[in-house]
Amino acid sequence: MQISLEWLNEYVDIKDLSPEEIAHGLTMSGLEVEDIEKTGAKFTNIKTVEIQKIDNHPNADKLHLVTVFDGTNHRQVVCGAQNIEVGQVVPYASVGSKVLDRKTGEQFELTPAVIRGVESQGMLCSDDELGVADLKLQEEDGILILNRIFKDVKLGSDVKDVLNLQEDTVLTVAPTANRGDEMSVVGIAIEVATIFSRELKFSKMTCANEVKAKDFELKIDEDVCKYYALAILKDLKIAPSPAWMQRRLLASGVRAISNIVDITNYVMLEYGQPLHAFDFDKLNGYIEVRRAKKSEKLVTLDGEERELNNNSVLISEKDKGICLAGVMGGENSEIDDNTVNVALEAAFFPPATTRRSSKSVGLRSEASARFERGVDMEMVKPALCRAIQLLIELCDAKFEGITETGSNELPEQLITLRYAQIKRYLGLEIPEDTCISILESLGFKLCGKNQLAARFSVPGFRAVDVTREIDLIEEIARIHGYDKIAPTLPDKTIAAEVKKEDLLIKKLHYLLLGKGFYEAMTSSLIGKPLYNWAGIEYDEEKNVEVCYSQSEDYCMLRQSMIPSLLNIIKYNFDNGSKNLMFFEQGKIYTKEEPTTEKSTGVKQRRILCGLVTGKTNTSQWQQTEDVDFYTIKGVIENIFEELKLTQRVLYSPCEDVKYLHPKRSANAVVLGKNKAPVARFGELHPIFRDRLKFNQNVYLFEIDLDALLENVNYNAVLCKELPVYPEVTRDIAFKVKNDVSYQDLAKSIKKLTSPNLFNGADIFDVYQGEHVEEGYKSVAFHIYLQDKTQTLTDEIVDSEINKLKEGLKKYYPSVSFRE
Amino acid sequence: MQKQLEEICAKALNEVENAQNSADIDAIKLEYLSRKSVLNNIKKGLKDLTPEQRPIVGAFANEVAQKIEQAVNEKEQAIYEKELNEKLESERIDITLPGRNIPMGKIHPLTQTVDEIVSIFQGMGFTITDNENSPEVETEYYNFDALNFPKDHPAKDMQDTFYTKVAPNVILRGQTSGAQIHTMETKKPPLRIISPGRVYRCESVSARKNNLFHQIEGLVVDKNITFADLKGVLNEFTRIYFGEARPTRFRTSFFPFTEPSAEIDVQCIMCKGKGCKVCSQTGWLEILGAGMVDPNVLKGVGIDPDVYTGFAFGMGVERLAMLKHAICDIRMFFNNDIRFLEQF
Repeated sequence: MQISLEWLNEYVDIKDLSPEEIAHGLTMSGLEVEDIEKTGAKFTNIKTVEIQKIDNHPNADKLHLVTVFDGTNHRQVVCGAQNIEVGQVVPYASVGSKVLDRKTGEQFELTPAVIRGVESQGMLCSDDELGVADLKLQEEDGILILNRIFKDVKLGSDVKDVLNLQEDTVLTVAPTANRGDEMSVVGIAIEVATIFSRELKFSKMTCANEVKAKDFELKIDEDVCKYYALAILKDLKIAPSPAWMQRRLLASGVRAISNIVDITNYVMLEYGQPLHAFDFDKLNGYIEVRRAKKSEKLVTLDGEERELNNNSVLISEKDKGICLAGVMGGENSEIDDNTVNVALEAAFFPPATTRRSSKSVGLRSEASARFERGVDMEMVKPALCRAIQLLIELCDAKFEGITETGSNELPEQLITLRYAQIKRYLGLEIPEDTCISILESLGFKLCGKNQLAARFSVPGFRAVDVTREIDLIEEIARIHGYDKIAPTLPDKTIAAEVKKEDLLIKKLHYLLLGKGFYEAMTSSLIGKPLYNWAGIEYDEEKNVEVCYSQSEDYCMLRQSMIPSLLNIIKYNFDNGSKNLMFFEQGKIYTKEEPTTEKSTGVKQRRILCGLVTGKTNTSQWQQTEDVDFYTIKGVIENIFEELKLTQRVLYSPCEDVKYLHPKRSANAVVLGKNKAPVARFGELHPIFRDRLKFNQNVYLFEIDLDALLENVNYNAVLCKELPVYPEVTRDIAFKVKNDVSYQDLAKSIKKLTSPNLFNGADIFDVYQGEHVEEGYKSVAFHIYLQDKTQTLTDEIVDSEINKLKEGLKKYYPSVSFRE
Repeated sequence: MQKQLEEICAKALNEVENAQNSADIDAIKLEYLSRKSVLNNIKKGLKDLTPEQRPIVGAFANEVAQKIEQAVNEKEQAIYEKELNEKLESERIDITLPGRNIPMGKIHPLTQTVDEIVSIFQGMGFTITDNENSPEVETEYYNFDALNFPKDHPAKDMQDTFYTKVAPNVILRGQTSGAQIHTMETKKPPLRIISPGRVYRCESVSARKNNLFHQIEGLVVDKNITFADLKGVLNEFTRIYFGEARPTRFRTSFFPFTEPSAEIDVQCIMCKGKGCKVCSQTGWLEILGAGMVDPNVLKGVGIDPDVYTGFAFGMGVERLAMLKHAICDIRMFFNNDIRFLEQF
């Protein structure tokens, strides 16, 4: 909202305050000032002149020599504009005048000039050279033609007066959602008067010799309208409103239309009470405020046909709606150039129903913004009287009377302020007198007091947002000044709890960081295009889709991290980065259970996922190696190792996941109460890779972090004693059928070795090719043996290894040992 | 015999003098200083001398042996050093070549920002909320009703809420403040919590605005908590985060769930308060919303506002990160361009 300080000054004396001081005061106490704009003429000494003669410039085709007359003297100027004609009245700047540079907008002083060999005695001005382009006075480019807009303009007058430009400052303010009262000049005047301890020069308007209007029937539904008044005014003369009113409207960002419409807008801006004027002759003596019926229609002032529903509130005649109450008028009853008689509405539409009504047709207006926040019930009638007064004064209206229904009286609202509570909330004692004078200045009435407390009645314009003691405390605090409250720290020391889970998750992030992974952060709000591009399906039934979105790219919460991961790859490939390692901890969302008032039924699972592609070593001059399945498996193993889960993990082929290579992917299951896979990883399926036009292999992993953490044992690690006797290593090598997995062999080796001697086994060779027949592979293990109680002899070791070999042959008939 | 020794000595010293490398030295050692050396042979012949001559020649032989040994040792040391220097010279590498690239990752700048902020509050006794107390998909109850948003009130327009097709009351949270309610429903005062998380706004995406971003919510509820404490805690935060010399101001604002409410500005870090484009010429940057927990909110979760008071605050992580790192497009955070991420 924009407010003119010149207008504000009418209600509170602020001439001695700078706009910056006022802005600071308002901002600190809750009405944020977003902009300060000085208005008025940006030029000096520009006069109106008449063009009397236009000659061609002797040395330039596109320039003219123009003779102008200011009522006393003739002057000749060089002018390049194409829209000039003899007889026009235009702005003229003589040497020494100040105008704006068309290109830079900077002000400069006109100096004597010779243009192409001819002296120019000043210049004719366009709207942007005068800084008034914003007023949109004319559409064409070129010199501003004044007598086209101002018919009776006199020669030699100051253009500042012709254009009605006066020095003013306009503040752009942003009232908070609870402060309907600050959407008016009077409301802001009350704030300013309080902040700067000044007198408010305002008293409520009443109607002199008010009479009851005859022959007009009103009916209201009290749910949607508490009070409705209609003033009948006749024989109005429609004309432009006076300059001072136009100026104030323009400063407030409202376009001037005609005196009747301008007056309703003016009073709304001044008092905060929206008014609506009907053409009396388009009505038939009966008005009702009611909820609209389903599918009822109304064409509003903007020419749009609106389909209404039960939430829409209508001003209606017997047979048809004529206005969307508190939102916008109807076309069928609007003021036009032929209007002579007016019915002026002032009403109280409650905030909630007006908001629903405005939402029901998706239409917001200056009026609905005020009703939604809450207007002052006690100001409805005074605003109507103010408008009547202006209509009589400015339109020669004949006031016929007022008809009204409902009640515009507010029940008295009393709040007790206990002084001790001020200290309790603010940590600061504020003298009682200060509290009382602040509240009184804000319009609260002191109704009684003792040593501990005071009681106040709430003014109508604060009835919505001030209802409790704490609200009074806030009023005192904000006016007294937050800056007067000296900072303290809570007097108790509390230890922050640090959760083991949080520490563990951080540890995993740092593990990945150490492996070379970058942390990514992708949008959890995605859309069908991304799913389709990635070739990933989602479950419609479980989808969390938003009702209205700016774009189909952001219309649902993701059910999978994979599309986002693939998108990271594409983005970086497109930008020339080929070697990528990324991880992200994000969430996926699925609707799993019925919704209740407090529970959404949507499950949010934490996923730790990542990708690797390209070379492991990106140095240009050293050997590099392509990443492969085992690169990503190594990472997964590291994670399990960090969580002390290595011994409980089983890997199995993962053939049912569409986006993974069926033979180069795996599930990892943690053995325990829940056998569901906690992780899957592997190579991106070649079909996906080709379709996405990736020229290199990509490896992905997805870990269900919630499932993984369920398996973690948070007990502290107990240190094992270091062995005293040496470890013995023996190697065994054998051929075995291809389909026997490492995982099986490792398990068997462990099982076949005496538990008191077994100290681990490492595979150190896997070979297929020459010397190994088709369908077989040759593998070799280091077997580590150790006895805690003695040094192992060759005999013991030999017999252990023989036992192992025999066992392996038995388990796997295809095994044959190399000696 | 003495003469013979003198000759041997002269010859040996000459050979030492001319030795070129460790092999020459080894040969000299064998020739003159080993058990089978000429010198040793002469020593063996001592027994054939007269008792008078024996000690004289013996002493002389020892003297010669010592002389040779000393010369050999000196030469050996010199040759070792020479050879070592040659070897070192031959091992010269270009130390300006880049080091072996053992890959190193980076933590996302938003996570870095969250971690820094959270750790400041942890230092003041704030505990991070449980994951389940900070859901991103919320019911209107937690996002609005329990936070004292009046039904059908323009306050709900302060955030452009994403409603979902799951149910009319299921939304994507527009603020982390719901975590306050979840926590107060499950835990009793004294409370001092901090809750970072993701929030959503139905806005068109631009360099300045994204439809999702991150917030950090804080809540303190206890006996005797005042607005002065709120100021103290947040001043400590800005002092540590922005540095000692950065003034703050608390200005009145409105949030349905706090009363009184404040917005906290920090002096513009770009222009130091003079006024610039970043701060829209005001000299101040808004970084935090805060206030005393509204008694209605406490009542709603069964905490007696006559016994307890509290304060709450919230801040936007992206905004703080953008200010700190001079990032001018919020979308950079979510593109995951490695050339962007590797800078932090």
